[in-house]
Formats: sequence, C-alpha cells, structure tokens
Amino acid sequence: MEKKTRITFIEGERIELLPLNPENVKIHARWANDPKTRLYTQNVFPVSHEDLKKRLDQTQERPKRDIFFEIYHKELDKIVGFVEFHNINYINHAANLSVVIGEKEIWGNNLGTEAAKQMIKYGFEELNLVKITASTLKPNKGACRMLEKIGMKLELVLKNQTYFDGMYVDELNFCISREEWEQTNK
Amino acid sequence: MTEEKKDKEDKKEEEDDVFPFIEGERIDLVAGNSKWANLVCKWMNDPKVRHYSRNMWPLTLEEVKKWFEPPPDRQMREFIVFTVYHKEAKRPIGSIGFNQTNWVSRNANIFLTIGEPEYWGKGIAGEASRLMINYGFTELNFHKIFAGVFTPNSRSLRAAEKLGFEKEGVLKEEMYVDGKYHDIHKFALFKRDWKMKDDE
Repeated sequence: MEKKTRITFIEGERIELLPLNPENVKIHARWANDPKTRLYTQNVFPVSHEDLKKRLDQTQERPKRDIFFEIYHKELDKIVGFVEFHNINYINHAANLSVVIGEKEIWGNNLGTEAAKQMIKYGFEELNLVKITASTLKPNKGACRMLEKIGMKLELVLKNQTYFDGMYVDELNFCISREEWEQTNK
Repeated sequence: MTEEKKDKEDKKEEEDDVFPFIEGERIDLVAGNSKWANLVCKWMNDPKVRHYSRNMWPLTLEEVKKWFEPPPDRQMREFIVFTVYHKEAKRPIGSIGFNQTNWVSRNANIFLTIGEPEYWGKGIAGEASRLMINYGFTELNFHKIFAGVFTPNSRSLRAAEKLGFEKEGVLKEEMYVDGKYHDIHKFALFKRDWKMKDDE
C-alpha cells in the first residue's frame, strides 16, 4: 500500500505537530470517549465521530480563533494526542493552551511537555501573542508538573470550581508572558 | 403637520438612529446604518469624490447595501468602518476605517472618504483620522498604521505628514488615474511615536 505523505507543520525532537487529518477523526473520537483520558479533559458527554468531525472542521476564518494540531510520534509512527490554542484573542494577544496525550500507554514520557513547548514558541514567535494561559484540575498532578516544567506559573485558583469524579475540585490557572518566556529561551 | 414640526420630527428620528462610538469635537464616528446606503452610494459614484478615493467602478445601491450587512459572528474583522457624522449639521458626511487588518502583525491600512466636498479643507479629515488612529492604538492594540496616498492628492499628503506619518517609500507608477500613471506614497505611523505625541 502506498504510504501517505505526512503533512508536518512544526518539527520537534520526538514529535511533530500536524494539521488535523480528517481521516484520523475516529482516533480522536476514541480518545474523547476513553474513560481515563476524558476524565481530565472533562468530557462528560459521549461524542460520536460525526460530532467530532463537525467540531474539528477547520473553518476558513482568518485569523483563526482556534488552532488545532495532531501530535505525531515519530518513532511510533502514529498520532498520540493533540494540542490546541483556543479562544485566541487578537486584541489582548492572549490564548489558552491545551495539551492532550490520548494514548494512555505512553503517559509519563514528557511528550506533552515537548508539544506544549513547541506551541508556546509558535504562539510567541509566529502568532505574536503576549500571554498564554492553561488551566487544569488540581488532581491532575501530571499536568501541573508539565505546566511548571515548561515555565508556566500558577496565576489563579478557582476553589471547588469543577465537579470531577464525584467531588468538587479546584481549577488551577497557569500562565506565561512573552517576557518570562524570552528570559529563559533567548 | 406644519413643515417646521415635521422637520423637527425628522431630525429627532435621525438622532435616534445615530450611535456615536467615538466622540470628537465637530464630528463623531458612528456605527453604520443601512438607511445611509443611498448616501454612501452617491459618494462612491460622485466623480469628484471617487477621483480621490479611487473608485473606478460604477457601484449599484444593491452592492452598497451589502456593506451594511452584519459581519460573520465570532470572526475578527479585516474591515472596520465608521460613518463620519457631522454633529452640528446632524448628518453623515463620510466614511473612515481600517482595512487590510493583520491581527497577528498588528497593522492595518487607514482609509477615509469625506463624501461631501463642501467639508473638504476644513480639518475634518484630520480630526476623524486622529480619532481613528487613537482608537487603533489604544483599543485595537495596533503596532503600526499605514496609509497610501497617490501623488495628485496633495491635501492627503499634507494631512498624513501633519498626523505624524512618515514616508516609507514610493510605489512608482502604481496607479492609473485619469489617463496617467501616478506614484503612490506609502506612509506609516507607529504606536511608540503616537504615544510620544500624546504625552507632550
């Protein structure tokens, strides 16, 4: 069978960030419904792959309000998750980052860290953002560690904001400014 | 109903339809209103006006009406336009706006048409431009505002310099106007320079 050409947008060490390939929508649907993965992404409703296709359909709007990439693992030769800027605000030049590794078996390998670093660089250097935020839930220790590792700082705690797995938990908001990022990355 | 009374009511109705977004001294920049489509259509086709605002195509009212339709939701606008409304005369006299807006590089082209030639040369264009530039830098967070003026439009050339625009370059024989090629002078104004002016 003919090998499909991979479309790469950002080249990393172990991973690459690719624009969404509609053929992969079923993989994304599997992650969106996966009991363990969806716990942290707060997907409390079932998602059909048709729903997802509609949601992920890249609109023609420019500048884009949401920017979505698949995380492709070079060695495994498959996509393992996704990263996204959503609600990019072009007046404030701020955006919210989210990173999801959909394949549970490879959690703990710092792949999310690598993807998030690429996104932050892309956000500051190509999109001209001045602030990038990310939010997670207190029980998601892995995400908190990851956000700190990439230089994000805890900015705000929303007490008992989210009902998560049978109890109310805090939502933690992290952020990094372009100055902070430049100090350690230039 | 007496003529006078009717006139008064018309004026009242007119005022109810005007929503100033940015207030100036003699003029306000107000949100568009489709009832002015006729007027805008007249301006854009007027030989004297279109000579300077460089419109060489006949524009139908239907086309102009489309400009007043709401932009798509959620989307950042590439085109931001206001009606220049004369406060004392209580009537719209032109349009001003940004186009070619680049939200990543944070710049835009400023354009302006005073559609009623009787208001030319009275500093109204300057006032409207200052309001618009200030809006661009303080509310839209632009880094740079640029403008293009073609050579015979000496009034606009002077206005651009008076506003603090600096010439960036000349595009040679870029524009064909009334049987001849003309140069376009490209001007730019940066936020840092505008701020300095404000502080003075």
